[in-house]
Amino acid sequence: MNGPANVDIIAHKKKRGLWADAWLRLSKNTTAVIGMVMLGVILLTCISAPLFIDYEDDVVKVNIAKRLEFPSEGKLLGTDELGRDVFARIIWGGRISLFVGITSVLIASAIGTALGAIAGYYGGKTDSLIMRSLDIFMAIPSMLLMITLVSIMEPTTLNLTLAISVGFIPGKARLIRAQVLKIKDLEYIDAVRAQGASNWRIILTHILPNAISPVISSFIMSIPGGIMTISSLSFIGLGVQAPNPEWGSMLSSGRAFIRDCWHITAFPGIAIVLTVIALTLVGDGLRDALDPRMKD
Amino acid sequence: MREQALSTDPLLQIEDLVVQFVTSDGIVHAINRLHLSLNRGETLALVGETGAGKTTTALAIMGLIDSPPGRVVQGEIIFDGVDLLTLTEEEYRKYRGSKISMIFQDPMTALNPVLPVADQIAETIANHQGLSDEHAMERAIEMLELVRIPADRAYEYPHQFSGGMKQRVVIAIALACNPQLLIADEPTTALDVTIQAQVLEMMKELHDKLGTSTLMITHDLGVVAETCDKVAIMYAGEIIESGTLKDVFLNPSHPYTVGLFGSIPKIDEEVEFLAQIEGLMPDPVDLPPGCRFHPRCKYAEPACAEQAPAFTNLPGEEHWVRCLIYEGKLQITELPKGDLHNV
Amino acid sequence: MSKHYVEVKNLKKYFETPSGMLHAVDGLDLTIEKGQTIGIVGESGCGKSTMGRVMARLTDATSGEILMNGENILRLKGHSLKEYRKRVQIIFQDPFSSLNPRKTVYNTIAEPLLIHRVYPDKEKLEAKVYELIELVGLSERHVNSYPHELDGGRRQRIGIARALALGPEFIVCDEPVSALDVSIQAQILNLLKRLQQQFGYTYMFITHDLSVVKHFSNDVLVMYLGQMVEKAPVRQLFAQPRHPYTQALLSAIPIPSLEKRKDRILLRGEITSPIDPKEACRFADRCNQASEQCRNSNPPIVDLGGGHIVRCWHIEQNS
Repeated sequence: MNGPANVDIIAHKKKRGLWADAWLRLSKNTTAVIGMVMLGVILLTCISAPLFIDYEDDVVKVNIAKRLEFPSEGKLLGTDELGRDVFARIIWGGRISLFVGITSVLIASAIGTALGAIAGYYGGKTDSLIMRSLDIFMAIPSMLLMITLVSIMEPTTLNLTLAISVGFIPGKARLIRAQVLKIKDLEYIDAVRAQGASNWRIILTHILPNAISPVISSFIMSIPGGIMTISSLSFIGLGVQAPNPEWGSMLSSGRAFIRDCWHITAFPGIAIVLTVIALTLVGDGLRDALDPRMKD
Repeated sequence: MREQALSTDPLLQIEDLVVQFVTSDGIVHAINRLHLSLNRGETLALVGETGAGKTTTALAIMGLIDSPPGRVVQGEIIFDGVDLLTLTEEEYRKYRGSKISMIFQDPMTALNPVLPVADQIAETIANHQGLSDEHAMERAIEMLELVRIPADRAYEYPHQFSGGMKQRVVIAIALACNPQLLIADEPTTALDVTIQAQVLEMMKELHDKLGTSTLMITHDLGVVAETCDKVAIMYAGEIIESGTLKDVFLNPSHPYTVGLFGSIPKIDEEVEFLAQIEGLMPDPVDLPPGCRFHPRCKYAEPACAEQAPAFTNLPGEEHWVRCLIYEGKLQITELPKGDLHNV
Repeated sequence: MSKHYVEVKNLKKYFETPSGMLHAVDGLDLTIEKGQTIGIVGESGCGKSTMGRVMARLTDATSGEILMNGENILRLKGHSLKEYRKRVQIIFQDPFSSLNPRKTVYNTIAEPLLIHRVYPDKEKLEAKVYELIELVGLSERHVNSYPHELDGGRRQRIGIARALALGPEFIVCDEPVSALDVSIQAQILNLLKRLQQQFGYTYMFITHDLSVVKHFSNDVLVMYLGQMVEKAPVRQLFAQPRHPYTQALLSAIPIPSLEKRKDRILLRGEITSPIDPKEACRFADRCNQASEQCRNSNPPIVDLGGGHIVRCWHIEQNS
């Protein structure tokens, strides 16, 4: 609250949906808008890549004659140690990194939300069972967990995504559970129980819609983590396998040439940094925009 | 012992005050040409409902309006000869807590949970009166006893006290430096009825002992009758009726005042339906033209939307009202106060 | 079969806390007749809200019975519990937190009808919602508004419309006007009264405000620390309060009138703890008539006739 003076002000707000309200506030936040623009450019480029990049020719085809060339005409960011177009590989790699990063967090959010909501709403033994099981996962250092899971499975993109999502589930579950605990004691939940609503109806139509805001911004903020994880795994060779490009593996293979051909590692690195910054700015802005207390 | 009034000038005189808040939905006209005066040693009740602007008035006097988004557009707040609106923040700080004190409605959040209660009182004493820590603490314990909290509880923490006792600590802090003006914003609204009775009784005793002039903000006309000498009724940022207790209680004149008295279920009366005032307090972003109350008023005529009523003096001790009825400009046949029971 | 519409028998609700067992409601007995209003009055911690919530089956009781038309409603489960919900509804105190901020006025009022599938036909559902909106004095233009766009009085009307949607017989009103301004309070109280006259509702009216309870009830029950201390028809209670707490409560109300009250009774101290209470009169610590007997044994309930009962050792002595 901005101080006791607000008590006297009856703000008869103009009719605006709750989401429209949040959007308005988001669009007034300069850094968030910058982030959104950056993210928009990155996403658009990566999604439309097949239109201007050919997988066989640009991304995978080895061309020893043209290896280790610095940025020049035709090759925006130069070529790597196997003569492949760095720019094309970064964009294609971005598709994979973003897919894995976003999807893993999405899956984790869905599963985490379900678990956290059930734990928070029913409480008691159900709560203990779910949360303690998740605690076990949290107790294992995430990279170790990742490595273990990945080495058991075939390193397809889907398997990688699932493995990475496991690491995020406990955090999302806790977040939702905390929100559910706050909301379930509010009077409007009592009111709907007094009308005879079933538990499922209450959780799905009353509690979750009100609990979802922090989860949305947490979702965006976790994507960098997902991207970093897949990059780290690829860096040590456990993630995306050659010849598919991935920012982390590009960093790894470029290490040997870093002295003279810094462009092979620098550009993927910059791509990671820019993507993470964009996501963080948007996530921050979203959290502020969705927070009902930070008005005017 | 009650001090003799040093002069017959009012202690607090507010003239033509206008306070606005700039928000994304428009300009909130919180206070609209407010006139108020409080004499030394008096207790004045500022009565009104949510949105009338009572708390904003208190904050304006204390210089605590957040600016932005608030701004004092015009007016004077003259306290003991000094226009408070001309003070710098540093000068104002010397007033707050020592010459003018305020107590808020919610005792639960007004106290610092990690400091013992005596320390919180001593802090304000040491701040303003420059006493040594020891002396300040002594004074603090005296104040606690004044509000009937035994000295052996002086070093306990706020959470160890009940709501009523916390409010008494808050009062002790406010009165520690013997201020000339005490602003009490709904001091007993959050308390149970029997506790409220205790606290009000204590406040009356303190008033008699220390002679502090008090501005009592409340919506409860019963509390007003118990503790105050004068009453000012506030609506949509301005005072629409004011006078001594007798003036306003025996002769409520403004249709809103009459409506307020009629809306309260009374212990000693039986009615089937309470007299209700239709509608709601107006949106301060979009105030009605002319008289702010006219859209809800049974007696309104077209003239009410065109002219803002002037202050009319009524027979009585100090009674005045802002309503076109009393300027003789309307053609009604019966004065509002005859009309208390309506469905 | 009970001859009363509702009969509460020795109702107890205890909560386990780290410091001991909290006796929120401790052996409450009362009867309510159809179409009447029983006012339940007391200060914070007396258990009145808990009583209301148990009645609305929002909380289970620890022991005791509540008979409605002879049937113990505390034992209802599953389908019969759902049917009970159609008969007994509740209006809450806080018009801010009792409405889902993400549902429009329409959806909030329609919800109970959807839950019980009363109107499978969408048009009939809509018509009913609009009917309810008009009944409580809300304007149609608010139908798609969200709670935060409306003021306390209108929100409370939404809460009332919602409670009326299923056509209940019995409505628990848990401090329905305490959070409202005085002039809005009058509007809502008048509305509730009109609705009772029109539809014959039975109200359990819970409040701390004695003036409101006097205006609105047929019988009044005064609670203190989970127990009834006095119960009487409303006029009788106000004319001749017998329990020292009731007397203190009545004398504590500030009256908006110039006649100064002569003998205000000021209670000593604060309310004692409801945790693991001893065998004694719970009011003894604060009562200026308390004797040894009061501090050592539970006072009996004395029947003064005409529906007036008091729990106190000192009844014969009071004039």
